Amino acid sequence: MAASPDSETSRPLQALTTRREVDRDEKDVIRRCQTGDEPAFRTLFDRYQRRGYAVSYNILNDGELAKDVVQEAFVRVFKNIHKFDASKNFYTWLYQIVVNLSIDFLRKRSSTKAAPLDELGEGVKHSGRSRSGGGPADSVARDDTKRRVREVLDALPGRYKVVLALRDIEGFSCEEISEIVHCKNSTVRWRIHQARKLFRAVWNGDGAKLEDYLDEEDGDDL
Amino acid sequence: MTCDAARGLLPLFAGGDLTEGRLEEVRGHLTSCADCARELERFGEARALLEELRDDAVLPKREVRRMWTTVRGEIPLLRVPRRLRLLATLRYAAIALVGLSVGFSATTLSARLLAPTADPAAPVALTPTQVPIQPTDIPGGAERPDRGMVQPATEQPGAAPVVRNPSGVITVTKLPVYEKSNAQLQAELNALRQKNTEMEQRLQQLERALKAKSE
Repeated sequence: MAASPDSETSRPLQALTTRREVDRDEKDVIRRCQTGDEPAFRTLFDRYQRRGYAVSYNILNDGELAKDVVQEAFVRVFKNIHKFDASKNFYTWLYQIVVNLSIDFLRKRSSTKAAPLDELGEGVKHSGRSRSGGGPADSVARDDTKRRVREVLDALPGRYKVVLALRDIEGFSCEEISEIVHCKNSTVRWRIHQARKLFRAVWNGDGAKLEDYLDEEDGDDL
Repeated sequence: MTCDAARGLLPLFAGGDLTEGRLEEVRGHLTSCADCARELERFGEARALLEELRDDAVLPKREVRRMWTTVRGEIPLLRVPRRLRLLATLRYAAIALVGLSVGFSATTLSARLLAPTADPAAPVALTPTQVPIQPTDIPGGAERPDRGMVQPATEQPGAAPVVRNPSGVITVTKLPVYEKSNAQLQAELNALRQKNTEMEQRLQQLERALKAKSE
């Protein structure tokens, strides 16, 4: 795996210097979880809750729903921790559940909410990025840009939203994403390719049509 | 490589997701094609917009704690480690000691409040004399055998009442509170206070031990 499981995480994890130490520590924590050791559960929760929440929030664009998703994901993981094979990556298992639950919520929501991409494109047409500067006006402009980026992201089909959230926002590698979404590496890269094109087209208000970005592999919207 | 072919790969190139072979091909094309280089820049900008959302979604600590409480409540059969079990035992022991200490103090205080106000200057015999007293020496002694205590025949107002316990040793400690003189109560109160102080010291020791363990 290319990226570390979690860079923010808890202090004990930060204290570990090498990837091997992180792996060894994680295996030990999981073994303790499998014996019902409460502090070990807490360690895993502290280590992964932030990124789990971020992944779900970036897919759903809804903080309350994202919280529900993360809670439910941890409950499912902890209830089934005794079945977990410690030779595998814990975090891909957890984020897989987070993504699946988020997609379930998206499916429920998609029946009531549909944002036409071309209309949205007009709405978010922007006047350039506002990265530099640290004044209040810049901060407001930056927040506004972020809000509009989220609007565009929210309007994309679920499968594109998922890969953009995992790859471009959270920085998972293609290999990790293929484990998380249970797809071949080539499929993941294809989705990333399409998702970036679509995002750029909508962001620039190019009058993107969703049909142009769906193919046989993407027959199902999600 | 043609511009069409290169542009088809730019979305992946922008994120460093191309395989090594194609990467070199696209890189070579970009050095000689300004239009494709501009196109790449636009993909780069779009990707940077998404990157700015990283670290944007963070829950406040309060919410994280609440989430953990909910999650924890759903996990069955959690095992508390031995170290924490020991701490819990010490905590209960400390609470029990505090309870005993408070109860003891309350009893002492109520006894003091209920005591009759006799002449404080009256002489009182507080120490057991170790001298056995014959029942015949004490009028009415036979009438109260069940209580094991009698009033001396020569009792003077304010004098210490004497009691003969089953072993025949005279003591004053088994009298009801209202039959004791102030001086007697004062002496017992002092003894209890001393005992209370000892218990409080022991309690503090336990609390310190508990704190040291939990740190």
